[in-house]
Amino acid sequence: MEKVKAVIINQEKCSGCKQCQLICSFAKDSSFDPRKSRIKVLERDREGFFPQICLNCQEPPCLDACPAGAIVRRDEDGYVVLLEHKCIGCNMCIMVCPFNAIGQGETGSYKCDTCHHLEKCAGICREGAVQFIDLAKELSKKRRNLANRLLGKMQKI
Amino acid sequence: MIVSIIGSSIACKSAAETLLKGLKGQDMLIIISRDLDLFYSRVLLPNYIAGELTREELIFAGKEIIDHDRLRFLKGEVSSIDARGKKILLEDNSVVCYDKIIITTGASPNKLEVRNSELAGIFYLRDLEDAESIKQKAKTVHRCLVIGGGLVSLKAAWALQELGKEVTVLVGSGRLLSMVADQTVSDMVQEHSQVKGIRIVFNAGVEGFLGDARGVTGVLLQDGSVVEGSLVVVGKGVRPNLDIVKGTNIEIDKGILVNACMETTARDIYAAGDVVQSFDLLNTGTRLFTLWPDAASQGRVAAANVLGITKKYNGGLSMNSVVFGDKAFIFMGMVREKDLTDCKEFSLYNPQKGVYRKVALRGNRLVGSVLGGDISYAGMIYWDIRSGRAVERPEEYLTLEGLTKLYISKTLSKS
Repeated sequence: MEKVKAVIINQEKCSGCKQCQLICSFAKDSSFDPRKSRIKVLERDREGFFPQICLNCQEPPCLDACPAGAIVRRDEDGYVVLLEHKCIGCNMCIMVCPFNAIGQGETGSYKCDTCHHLEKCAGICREGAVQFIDLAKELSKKRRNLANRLLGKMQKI
Repeated sequence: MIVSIIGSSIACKSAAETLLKGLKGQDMLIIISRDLDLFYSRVLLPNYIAGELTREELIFAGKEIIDHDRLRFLKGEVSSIDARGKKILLEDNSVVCYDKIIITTGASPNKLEVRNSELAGIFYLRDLEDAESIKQKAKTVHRCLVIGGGLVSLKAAWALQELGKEVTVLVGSGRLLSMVADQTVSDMVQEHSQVKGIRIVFNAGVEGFLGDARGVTGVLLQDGSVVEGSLVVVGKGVRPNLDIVKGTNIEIDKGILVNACMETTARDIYAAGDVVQSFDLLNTGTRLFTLWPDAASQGRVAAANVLGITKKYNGGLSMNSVVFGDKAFIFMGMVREKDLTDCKEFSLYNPQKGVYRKVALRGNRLVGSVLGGDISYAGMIYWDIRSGRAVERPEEYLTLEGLTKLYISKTLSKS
């Protein structure tokens, strides 16, 4: 059965420790710099913390917007990845990503690639606020439909 | 079923991708293109000129499409379509039979019709051949001229500057990017370009070119002055390639007219990309968009309908993202002063930080935004414009803190 990666964010569980940002920037950029992290934890007084990461849309606007063919859906798990060696840093993907999940680097854009299935942010999160799961194809469709419904809802707000 | 796509850029690629997933049995996909290099990205041509990318790196489609069993490429120029007989006629007199066609022939540069405009050394920047010629010529030339102050012209100017050339941009109007940006962005880009070393001449009406059999040596302006340069790049916008639909019953205006399913007025003929005139999300009319993301989604919509799956195109939103050196700019929806006469503008410009944000509201609906220097949350704003979001506190869009707050409140209201 085809494996498809789904990202689950349990915003209520996030304690705001932000270790995910550190391990992500270390894994992807060899730095402990939250600005380089592919996952970001936003915070707002009283309401708490909000992890922000690529939600792997069913029809990713970023994929259609990229004029360099740098954004593709990975065969093995259906996750949308950004091939940094192909990216020219034109920011078209950033312009259309509803989830602010693509970062702007000095030489090009970057986004989560699940650390090639190692998912370090999820691994370090003791609260289980960030989880990656390989869903069977049908289930993932439901999940992606959910993401699309959320996207639809966001657009209506 | 034989489906034919005419063209070979992004609308073609996204259509082909969709078709290849849905075609079955004996079905075939034939792509007819005059381009030798298929699926190369025109958007990347300035980067190619600047030497940042190789020819191979311009290809944006994967092998899973290019090498697909069901796909045949036919290099050739289409001369006409026989919609009744369901045949495509090529200039070499060969004939391709079809069941359905998707026309994605794109657009070509508007030519500058002035004295001596045929001299060698005068180029447009649309095709790979153009970029190749500019690149070759640049090897022997130091002084370069760029005519036009639009996005393509400025990208070309920056690319030539990157190669160490002396670059002068001749702009017909009084400011840069007058078709896509507001005054503040024009000023920001102007200053940024001048600091980089690019010379800019405004209100420069081109009277003609100077030169001889060896090629162009300069531009004569309407005020009688001469600007020297032996490589000229002209950027005067584009117009749809409509030649092949002439003589058919396919209705055209500025571009090919299509319905929401990307169907033309001729049976079994669809069109997508720069060649079509499509519905404008912010106005009730239709217009030419010539935008990559729109071409991509139009191609997908056309292909789905070819396969019998009803899918509709939601309409285009004029937008663009451009980077000059270390400064990024994004324009979405309506941004120019003259388009905003019935709208309210809210903006915040911090010259020290080089950060500019603007939103435009018609009534309380978000209809446009400009971001300069910091493009965080551009995507959220983009979707807010697409959905015509009712905005209560426009000032929230003007600071990073405000945008973060907005994003969080949306996250909360959806859970």
